[in-house]
Amino acid sequence: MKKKTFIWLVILLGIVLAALYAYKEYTRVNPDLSHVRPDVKIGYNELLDEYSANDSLANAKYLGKIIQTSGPLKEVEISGGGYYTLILGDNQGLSSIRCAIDTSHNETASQLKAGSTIMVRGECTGFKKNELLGENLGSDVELNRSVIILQNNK
Amino acid sequence: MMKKITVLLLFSIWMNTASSQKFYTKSGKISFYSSTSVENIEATNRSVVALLDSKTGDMQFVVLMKGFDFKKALMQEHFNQDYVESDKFPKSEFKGQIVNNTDINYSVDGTYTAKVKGQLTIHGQTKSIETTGTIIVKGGKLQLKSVFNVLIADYKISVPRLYRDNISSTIRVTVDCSLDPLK
Repeated sequence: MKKKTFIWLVILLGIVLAALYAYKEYTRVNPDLSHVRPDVKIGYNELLDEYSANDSLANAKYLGKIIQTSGPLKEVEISGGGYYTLILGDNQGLSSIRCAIDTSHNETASQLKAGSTIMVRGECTGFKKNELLGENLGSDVELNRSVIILQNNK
Repeated sequence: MMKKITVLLLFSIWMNTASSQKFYTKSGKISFYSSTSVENIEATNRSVVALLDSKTGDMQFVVLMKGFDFKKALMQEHFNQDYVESDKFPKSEFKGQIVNNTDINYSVDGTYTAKVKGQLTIHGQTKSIETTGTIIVKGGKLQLKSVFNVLIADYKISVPRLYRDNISSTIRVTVDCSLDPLK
């Protein structure tokens, strides 16, 4: 094989590989978090305490990270269109961890009952103090694309 | 006679409570849509916190930017890292008022048109906006709906030259929130 032909083949191969990589990246979807290793494992109250104490500092540590946490299930919310949100926290407290469930895990979420202890994994999207128009609606840490890892029904 | 007065009194108390109630949600939906000849981009956030005071017409919405879900992960990453800089500006907020609040009877089921005026903060930039929306009163609950456009330049969101054909300079925002009475 001539040297020139070989160089052209290498360039062509490079272009094909780059195009394949670009296409794969362009069409990539967010992964199911049950197959993703968590960045942080933390108790629900510890996470809430850190955010309540200093949300900027907590954001620097947890924002965008895959968090695995466990705690008592306060409520299972279903909004229009069948979207589940699991609310972790003490019944007495206003603060919670709100876990928006990945819709491919709806079936598991639908079987959960308030009062059970669960372990969830989700992407931390931040913290809301929720003091709107002078009303305290309770502070929430939010986890998105959440999946249920373990459940202990009472 | 006494019985009639008592019933009337109770009814007026109930009417007053119903009309001065606050309504809220923590799972409202806001989506945005960008349409260009190259591609359409849509993202939805289903964890919007909203509160409406039916007495004054004051309303507030708060949304975490990292909570917007895109079909494609790469778009979501570009949106958070390069455009709205979610690490730096994690929240967006609207605070405003229904200017024709007296036209809305929160005690009677029906569909009402609401004219809304307020301040929208995205990417750390606050701009005044005016829009119209619909309030559906049904069974003591409210559904708020509105569609309006925002210019990304108003919020100092810059798009790299390479992607200018992919992202519209005007973004359509759709609000759809079901609010429960605040107990």
